[in-house]
Amino acid sequence: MSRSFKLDILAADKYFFSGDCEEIIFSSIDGSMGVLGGHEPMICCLSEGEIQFRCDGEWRRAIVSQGFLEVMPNFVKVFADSVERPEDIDLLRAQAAKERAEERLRQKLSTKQYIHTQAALKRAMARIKAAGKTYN
Amino acid sequence: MANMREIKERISSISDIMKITNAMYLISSSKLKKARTALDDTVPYFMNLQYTIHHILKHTGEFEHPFFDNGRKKPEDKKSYGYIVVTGDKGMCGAYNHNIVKLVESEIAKHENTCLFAVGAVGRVYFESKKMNVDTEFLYTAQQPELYRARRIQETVMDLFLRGQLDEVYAVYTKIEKGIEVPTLVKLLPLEREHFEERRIPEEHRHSAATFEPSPEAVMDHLVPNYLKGLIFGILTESFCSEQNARMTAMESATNSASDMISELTLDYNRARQAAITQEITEIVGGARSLKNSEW
Repeated sequence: MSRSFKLDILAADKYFFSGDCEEIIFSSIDGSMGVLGGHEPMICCLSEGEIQFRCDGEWRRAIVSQGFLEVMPNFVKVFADSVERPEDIDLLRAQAAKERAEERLRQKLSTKQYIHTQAALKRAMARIKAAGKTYN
Repeated sequence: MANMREIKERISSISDIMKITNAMYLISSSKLKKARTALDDTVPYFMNLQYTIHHILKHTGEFEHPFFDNGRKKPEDKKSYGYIVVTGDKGMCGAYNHNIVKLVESEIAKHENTCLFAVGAVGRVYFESKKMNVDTEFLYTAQQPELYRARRIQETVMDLFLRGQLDEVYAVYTKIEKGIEVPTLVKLLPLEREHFEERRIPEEHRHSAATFEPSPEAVMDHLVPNYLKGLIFGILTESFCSEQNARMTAMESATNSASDMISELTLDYNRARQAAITQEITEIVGGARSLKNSEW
């Protein structure tokens, strides 16, 4: 049985989750990563996407935007600008946001705008993907 | 009697103003309630963020990074200082704006090259009229703090910092301490290790150096902007909350003094009315008597 660790998920506008957790899977800037209890201390960047965490054998999901993680052997802290439950996602809004972002990407943008738009696109895609899973 | 009419006019004008101040009081108290909950929601993030950054820095050796580049071996008169100044968008909130302006002025006086980034109309208009160096493209309102706005502010400032146009960045804002608004100055950039050391919480049993995934530089490149964004968002939220608090108190005392004035004026008015009646009676009685006298 894997050891459990304390997990805190903090969004800028709310305390999303705090409790014991056995495993967490997230996407870092260079690929998907998983953390179990007793992991070596690590600081890691979080990219837009889905995180999955297991509490008492039950998998839970959340959609996060950019942020970072602090991993210590006995606790993990996730910091992100926004964290949402898949149930809370408005699929239509995400779809509209995606289209808007794609539209904008076709134009010539400054570097800053390009980064903004790409981040918006990624967020929208992550939302759509996660919301799609719930409805299937 | 003209005096009576004047008093009446004053009473009605004061009661009109009282209606306005009372309405503003109600509005700001409901806004304050909203701002308070927003602030309470941000505080855990804010505290944890600062604590974690401090923790991370403690567990890593010295490494070079532009955000920690405190050296900037420039003589004092070549250094440029940036200030993010958070004021309200309008007045009517007691000394709230005034306190910030005073603090900024005393800070600016210390340095030669300064640049102001004003959030909120009052500060911007004031500093522009004083012909200070205000970034005119930096237009943000202090109402309804939002994360994306914090992100834009962070990007603007960080960009200038990394390009070397700003050497130190501060934020001037108001925070609430035990229900009292306190104007505060915080340093945003460059980050100082000592600055984080101050926040040490007696929990020193933490261990071993952490690894950075993929590399310390890459993590810092992401983490510091994130940290600043969080910090700026916290600053905006707290200022907004303070502003509403200040306005609420100011409007409450305005309403109170208006009702005091009205009761005083009502007393005056009644006295004047009494005097007028007395005089009239005296005149009538005098007139009647003289009439009687002539009949005799």
